[in-house]
Amino acid sequence: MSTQSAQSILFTHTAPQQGFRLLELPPEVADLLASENPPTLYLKTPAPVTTTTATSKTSDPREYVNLCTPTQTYRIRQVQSSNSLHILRPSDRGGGDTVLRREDLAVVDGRAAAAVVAAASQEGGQGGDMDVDVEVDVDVDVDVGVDLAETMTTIAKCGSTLELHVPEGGLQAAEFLGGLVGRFAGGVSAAAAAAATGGTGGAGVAEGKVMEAVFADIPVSRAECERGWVEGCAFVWRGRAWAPTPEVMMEVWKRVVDGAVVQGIDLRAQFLVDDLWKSVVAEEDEEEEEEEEEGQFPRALFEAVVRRVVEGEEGKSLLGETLKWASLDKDACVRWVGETYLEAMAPMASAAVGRSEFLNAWKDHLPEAWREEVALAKLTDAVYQLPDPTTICFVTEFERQRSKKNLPTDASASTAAKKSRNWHELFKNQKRQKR
Amino acid sequence: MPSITLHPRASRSPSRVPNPLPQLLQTPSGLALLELQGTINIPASHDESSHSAETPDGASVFETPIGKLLFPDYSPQNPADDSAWMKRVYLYVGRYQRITGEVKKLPKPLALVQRRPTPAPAGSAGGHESDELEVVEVVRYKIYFKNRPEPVNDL
Repeated sequence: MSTQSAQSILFTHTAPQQGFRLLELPPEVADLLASENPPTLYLKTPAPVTTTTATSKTSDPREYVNLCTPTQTYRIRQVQSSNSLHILRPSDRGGGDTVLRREDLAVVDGRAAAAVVAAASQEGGQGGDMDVDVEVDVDVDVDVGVDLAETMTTIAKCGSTLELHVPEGGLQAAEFLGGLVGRFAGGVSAAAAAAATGGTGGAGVAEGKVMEAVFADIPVSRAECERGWVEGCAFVWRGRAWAPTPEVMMEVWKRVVDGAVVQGIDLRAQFLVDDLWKSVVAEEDEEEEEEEEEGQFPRALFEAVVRRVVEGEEGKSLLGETLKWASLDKDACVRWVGETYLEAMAPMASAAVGRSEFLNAWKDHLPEAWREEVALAKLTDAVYQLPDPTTICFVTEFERQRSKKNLPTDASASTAAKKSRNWHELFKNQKRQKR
Repeated sequence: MPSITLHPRASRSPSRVPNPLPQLLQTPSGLALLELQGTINIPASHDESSHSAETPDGASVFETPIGKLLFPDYSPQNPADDSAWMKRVYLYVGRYQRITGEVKKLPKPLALVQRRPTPAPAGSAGGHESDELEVVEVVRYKIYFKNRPEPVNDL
């Protein structure tokens, strides 16, 4: 009986139950939620795939939900449990209900309908002709009667929890961006035609809204969306979002460099973006009169390209404000020009170009003073391939992902799976083999 | 646009019901977590063995007693850093069954997520549910019963 001196709490079940989901929080998300001003999180799913691959894949393999903090993205995975997880809350059903509750308790304790009757009659106030059985019930009654105000009740039962994972290789906003924006490949006239057939034609739509609409369909966090947008040189033009091909990027960039030379703008120092734009346009007017029709490009595209190579403060959003003063980030600029040029000129192994030829073209696309910066080592390792001793070609994001995924050998993957108690991990490999 | 908002805080302020649980298990919202190997079978009909109360929105809420929770080694007078009491929790179901469990710290905190109730529009009573979610509480401990029920003597 010593245990009875400790606090004993009546435990009840409330019906109807409520709907709850249990979300397992990685430490950084838990910290985020515990912070003074926790940010709003978003659950994002990819936009339903409507075109292209519809014939080959009937069921959308991209059905999933991502949890996005402002800067991070997690894949949500539902994990079933054979245990039941009850969510409890203190119950305030005291007072007038107490009598009823005593009856209930007798049922629980006595497990016999007869006991209920007996207990109820006892409740009536006479302690007359009770048998032993009822006596016991009363004992229990008195025992917990002290704690009756203290009740915990289960209001929900969960058979599963949601776990958060950062998918292998991270989530690339760029993957989704490509499918959601127009491909700006040719000159203005071609793109304008595409815009017309696109049908939206909402010239009045604010640029920000167009971008937001695209972001809403990219199932990654805001920061990653913005990074993908900037890195892809995406821009809004005539009410539609566009991403230029590497060829167009290089074309624009070359004109920027040339224009800067003509107008005497030093790209190494801080410059006015307006001046640079004028230099690009002026050059067009004077020298490329005959090419103007297809050679022209929207200012938004120009700004997107400049924004790509501008020196930005770490973590600061470059979007949403017009660029005014800018200075280029030398290393990033040299690398970007090299990689984009390579992607434009030698997109695959079969189209590999000569190495010295590539290096020279690379130099030609940089401001004079930065020619010496050019070296293969400046490129990100994974983006290029040397198919034979003299040539070089670009490695697409897709191939990079694939080679990355092939890296862990089957043996190591299965041992990792064995260690894990997670069913998804355990059966992942088998599934892959069947396919 | 397939994007659902998950608010980091509950919209409702927690109700001030006294919380009988040990301090460690108490949360601002009062919500706590109890894990059980197995299920609690609640009889389908509530009319006899439970009592109901009318909630303001007209739906009746039943509470069916299951048993008693007991933290035998816990005392509010214990020093706060004393965790010995966590090793033993009893759940009595009926007179002769007892499940022994413990209080465990969750390896990762769990967010309790629920649909955010929208403010009831004028004229219609009751909380309509919106398509927005909210984190009602973040729980870091659970009461965990992993053993089978054992027979006990009558108390």
